[in-house]
Order: sequence, then structure tokens, then C-alpha cells
Amino acid sequence: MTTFGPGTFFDGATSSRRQVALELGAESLQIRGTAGELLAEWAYADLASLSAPEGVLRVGLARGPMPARLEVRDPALAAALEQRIGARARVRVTSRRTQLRVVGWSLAAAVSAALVAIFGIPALSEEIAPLVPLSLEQRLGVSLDRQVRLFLDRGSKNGPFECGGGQADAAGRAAFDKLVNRLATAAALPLPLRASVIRMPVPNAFAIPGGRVYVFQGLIDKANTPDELAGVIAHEMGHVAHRDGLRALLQSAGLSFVFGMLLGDFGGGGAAVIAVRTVLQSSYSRETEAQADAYGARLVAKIGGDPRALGAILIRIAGTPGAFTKILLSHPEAQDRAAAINAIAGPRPATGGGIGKPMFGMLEPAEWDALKRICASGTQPAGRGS
Amino acid sequence: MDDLTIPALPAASAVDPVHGRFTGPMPPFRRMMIRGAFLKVLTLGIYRFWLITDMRRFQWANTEIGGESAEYTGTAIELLIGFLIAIAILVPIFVLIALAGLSLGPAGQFAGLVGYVILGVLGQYAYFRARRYRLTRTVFRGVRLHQTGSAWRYAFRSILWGIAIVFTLGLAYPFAQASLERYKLSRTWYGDLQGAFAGSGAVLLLRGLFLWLILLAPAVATIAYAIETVDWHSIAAGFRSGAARDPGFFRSNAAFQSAASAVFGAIGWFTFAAVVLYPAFQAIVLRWWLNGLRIGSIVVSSRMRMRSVYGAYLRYLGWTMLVTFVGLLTFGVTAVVISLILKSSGISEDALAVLAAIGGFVAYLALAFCVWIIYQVVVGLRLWRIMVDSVEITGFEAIENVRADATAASSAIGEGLVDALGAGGM
Repeated sequence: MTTFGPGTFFDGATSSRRQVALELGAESLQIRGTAGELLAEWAYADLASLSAPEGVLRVGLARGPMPARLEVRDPALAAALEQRIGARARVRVTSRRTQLRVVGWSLAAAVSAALVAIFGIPALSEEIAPLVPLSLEQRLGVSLDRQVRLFLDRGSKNGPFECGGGQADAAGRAAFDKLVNRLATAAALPLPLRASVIRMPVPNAFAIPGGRVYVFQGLIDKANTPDELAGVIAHEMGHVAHRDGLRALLQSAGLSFVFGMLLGDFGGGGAAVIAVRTVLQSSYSRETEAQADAYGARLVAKIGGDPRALGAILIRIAGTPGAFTKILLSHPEAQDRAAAINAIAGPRPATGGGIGKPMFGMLEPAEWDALKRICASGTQPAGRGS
Repeated sequence: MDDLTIPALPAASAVDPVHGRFTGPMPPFRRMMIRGAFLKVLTLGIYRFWLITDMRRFQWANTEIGGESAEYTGTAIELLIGFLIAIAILVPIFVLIALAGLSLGPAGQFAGLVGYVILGVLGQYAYFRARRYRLTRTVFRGVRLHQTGSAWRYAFRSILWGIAIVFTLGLAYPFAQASLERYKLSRTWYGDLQGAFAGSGAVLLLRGLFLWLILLAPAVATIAYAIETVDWHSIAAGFRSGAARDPGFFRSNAAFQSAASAVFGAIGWFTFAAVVLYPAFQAIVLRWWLNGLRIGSIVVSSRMRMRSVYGAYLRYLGWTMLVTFVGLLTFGVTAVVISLILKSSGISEDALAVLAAIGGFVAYLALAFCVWIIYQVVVGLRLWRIMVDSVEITGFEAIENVRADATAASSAIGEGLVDALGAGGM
């Protein structure tokens, strides 16, 4: 086996290049200058084989302040030296062993992050939400309200974004307020309710933190009785009472932190984060939607309305579920919900209002007619609503 | 130690001028990238620290100047620790921005803006620190490079220049580059040899002015045209009275219509020209930069060609189109076959739609993955190779007796911040 040969040496103190003679001993490597003087003696145990171009073996001390280097181009000598240093001390490319370890620990981290996302974050937001002062939630509501309007208001040509602001809509607004006030008085929410009707054709309604409820024009168009509308508003008040909006906000902040900050980076990472969040959050909201349904049904019953009306309007709005609704729709299927609501409502009373038969205990027929037209006359220039 | 005697040197390296040479064979790099990208996906991104380290080792080791190649001595663990520290620094800032924006009204929005300014400054700070990390992990002929100077000063200088660039519609860019490169290179050291930057902003401006004119002259002209021809008073009055709500209000204003279409045309032109001219811009800046490099009495010059930069990007375009086409074809055929098989086995429509969505998502990830690899190989490494191969160095004999500096190696916090802020780049 070759134990002598030429090399190029850099002593680490200066950049000068020296041609040297190498001698491979039993435990160490001797580096000698052209005149035979000993320049350095390196123990194999201290050496590492470093990254270098093809055809060059570059070695240096694994530890030490100065990066002294020895380069060997003679293939036989390089092979002999590399064998003595051993495969353990190769720092040229990431080894298979390291790759496996990184994969293993990353998968462990992913499992741990998933557990945090599924159990930890909902539990944490459950604990934190009651600790947030109501005043802070209300201020949050003001800021979110602005963002909601910015996001949804596309400048309809039929009138201002919020309905019921004009002179002609005053009767409709009064009827809406009457309905909302009856519900709010019965509910005794911890913070003032602020309900608005917004000019959007979709049959929908939602609540945000701070006791703000938005009813879409499309929902009022679809409602056949005051009870149905009351049912939906009461459902949203259930979210307000349970502070679901605040909880959802805390959860989405937590999820975007866990998945975005710690794991995101790769090309499609952003899309993955959004997909994960959507799926996880919709599974959070199934339970809370069922709770809000129960709250809404009880509240409507409390003020003498028909709790089943909520189920009826849900079925009418839902129609047939599309392809993605089972996983991605944040509201569980209407039929299941209606069944759950009917179970809470108990047996149908012999007298009293049924589905499709207006309950005039809630609103007078004239008031209901005015409420149905709350968005009808918005073309005159009116204030944006305060 | 002034009379330190240095043994007689082999004459090999001292022939002037000396050339740069990139010796890296592409196939192993390509294999490393494919394997690394795969591991990166498998580890949800964590493997990137090991992949970056392997890429740099390859890139450095195959960069040869005067017959000697460089060496990258950084490790993946250092990068990972730097990233974790960066997370610890950034989390409170992100939380503050989020809280301020949500709860405090106008004051909160102001606080949020301040937060973004802080992030902007921090990004530049991180860039300077990351540069220091890379330099201290670069060994050439047994001597390390290093960097002195304050990262905060660099960050403020860079932010101020950024503002100037915005206000001058980009005309300040060459002077900003010259100033920032002077700052960086005069604080860059190879042992006891100090770097310098000799490039001039005015020269870069003259070389790139035609690009600026092609890109922005139409936009400036159309905006001037719009200001001149449209009766803005009547439009403002329309907004006050609410008449502007009606789309007909703008449709009936002929001057506004023609000005709007001119501005849209200029924006379209700007976007198109920006994409087509980007390689030219990059070639001009890189060549100017290489020609300005100095280390002690060593002078770098480059004859880098614009067409080789275009070549790299055209290859990228071609490969990306090919991979996208083949990928879509494969995905489409597979999807049809699988759905036919599943339908005959009586699976529900809903389950099929969910499977299709998951399949589409996986296909999207796979495509993003391929495009990323193509970019790294065809543009990333190739541009480096073009740069190294174009370099000619005079006065290289000064490299022979540089004394090492015992400066301690810096930490990878800057690298971590750059990574966490998503502001990468060499």
C-alpha cells in the first residue's frame, strides 16, 4: 500500500501554497517540506475529509481555529489516506444516515404539530377566549367590521351596502329592529348586539366577534315567515353568546402560526397551509354550528316563536349538497341539522304556527311586508349607515 | 514575525491574468437536487438546511480560481439553529403586529405599519449578517474570508436607498447598488487583504438607461396624458354627489375612457417588457458588479455575455413548459383511468370528487417541486457557472502571502432570519 507521495499544503496561517512530501504513519500523517523539514504531524483521529472538486482529496483538522488544508491528487495515496481517516469523518455531502435521521425527526415533529393543531389549539382557544375582556372583543369587532365591509362591499349599483338607511326603508328597519330587540331582550347577551342587513344576493348570515351580526338581503328574500328569520338571527346570537367568533379567530391565528411559521417554505407550502387550515377549521365549526342551532331554537321558543322554522329555512337554502360540501362546507348538512333542531323543539304543539303559516306574535303582517322590502329602495343617495 | 520566510513557490498559479473556472459536473448536482427536493417534501421543509449546505459545498468546491478551488465549511445544524433563533426573534414581532392591527383601531394600524417597517429593516439586517456567515464559512487556500461593519447601519442605508428608488421611479437604483456594494465590499476581507468596490453608479445608469426607458417611458407618458386630457374636477364632483356610483357615469366620459385604456395598455406593456428584459437587466448588473470587484491589488474583470444569461432563462422556460405539458397529460390520463375504474366499482360521487381534489393538489405540489428543481439547476447553478467562467483576474500574485485573520466565525442568525422572512437569494 502507498504510504509516500506528494501533496499541496496550506498551513492556515498564510495563503501560501507549498508542495510537500507526505508520509502515512501508523497513527498519524507527517507533512514535510521540500527540504525534508517537518511542517505538521496530524493524527488520523483528528482529521476530516472535506468537500473538494472531483479528483482531489482535501483533508484538514476537524477542530481548530485555523483551517489548515492538505490536498492530495495522487489517486493511490488519496485512497490510502482516506481509508485511514475513515468514512465517519467525511463531511463532503450529507450522508444517508443523516438523511434518515432528519426524515425521522421531521416526521416526529409533524405528528407533534398535528396533535397540537387537532387537540392543543382548540383546547387553548377554549381556555383563552373567556379570559379576553368584553371591551377588547368589542374593539376587535369595530376593526373586523371595517374589514368585513371592505371585503364584501363591491359597490352595488342598487344602493348603499347596508340596507335600511334611507327614508323609504325606515319601516323595514323598524320591523327588523323590533325582531332583533325581542330576541336580544330574551337572550340577555353580555355585550350589546349590533345587527345589520347588507345588500348581497346570497342567502346567508354571519356573526363576528364583538356582537356584530350581518343578515344578507338574499336571506330575507328566502325567508317565508318572521320565525324563520328570527331563527337564523337567534342562531347567530348563539355564536355571539358562546364567543365562537373570538374562538375561531384564536384558532386560526394558532394554526397559521404552527403550520406557517414552523413548516412552511417549500414552493407549494402556502397552498398546503391554506388547505390544512380550511379542512381543520371546518371540522371545528361543525360542533359549534350544532350548538348555535340549539341555542337559536331555544331562544325562538322562549319568545313564543316556532323553533322548527330555523330547520325549514336551512333546508330551503341548502337545496342539494354539491360535491365538496361534505368535507368543506362549514355548516353540517341541512337535513341533519333540521332533525337535531326538531328534536330540541319537542313534539309539535296542537295549536300555534306551523311551517309556512306566519306567526303574527313576532311581527304584524304589515311589519313583515316592510321588512321584506328593507333593501328595495336604496337608490337614493343615503349615508353608508353608521 | 515580519521577516517570515516563505518557501519557494511553484510557479503554476502566478501567471497573469488568472482565469476563473467552474469544474462542477451537472449530473451529480442534478441527482443531489432531485433527491434533496424529495427529502425536503418528506420532511415538510426541514431538510432544506441540509440541502442548502450540500448545494453550497458543491458550488464552492467547484469554483476554481488560479488552479485552487474554494471550500464551504458551514454545516446544516448551524443553519437550523439560526432558523430557530430567528423564529424566537420574529414570533413576538408577528404577534404584536397581529394584535395591534386587530384591536387598537387607527393607532393599531399605525403600529402594524411600524411593525412592517421593522420587518423590512430586519430583512436587510439579516441579509448583511447572512453574508457574514457565508464569508466566514468560505475557505480559500487555507484562509477564511470575513466581514466587518455594522449590520444595522447597512440595513438603514439600504432602506433609505429603497425609498429613494421608489421616489425616483428606479433611477436611483444604480447609485443605490454602487453605494451598498461599496459598503459591503470595503468591509469584506480575505485574511488581511481588504476588499473594495470600484463600480460606478453613473456607469450602471448609462448601461441600463435604455431598459428603464423601454419599461417606464410609456407609463409616464400615459399618466401625463391622463392628467392632461381628463376633467378631474367633474369626476371628483361625481364622487361627491354619488353620480359616480353609476357605471354609465364613466362610460359616457370619452376622455376618461381613452385615458384609462392608455394607462391599462402601459401597465400591460410594463409587465410584458419586465419579463422579457429581466435577463438583460440581470446580465448588465452582474457584469458591472464583477468588473467592480477588488481585493487588495487584485482586479477582477468579466466579459460575461447577455446572450448566455438569456440562454439560461430560455432553457428554464423550455423545460418548465415541457414538464408542465407532460405532467398535465399524465395527470389527465391517470385521472380518467382511475375514475373509470372507481366508478365501475360503485364509489359515490362525493368520494370521487374528494379524491379528485386530493389528486389535483398532489399534482400541483409535484409540479411546483419539478419547477423548483429546474430553476435551481438551469438558472441558479448555471448563472453562477457563467459568472465564474467569465472572470479574468490581474494582480493575482498578491494572493500568495495573505495572512489569516483570527476573527471568530459568526453565527447563522442572519441566515435564519433570511430564511424565516422568506427573503432568500445569494
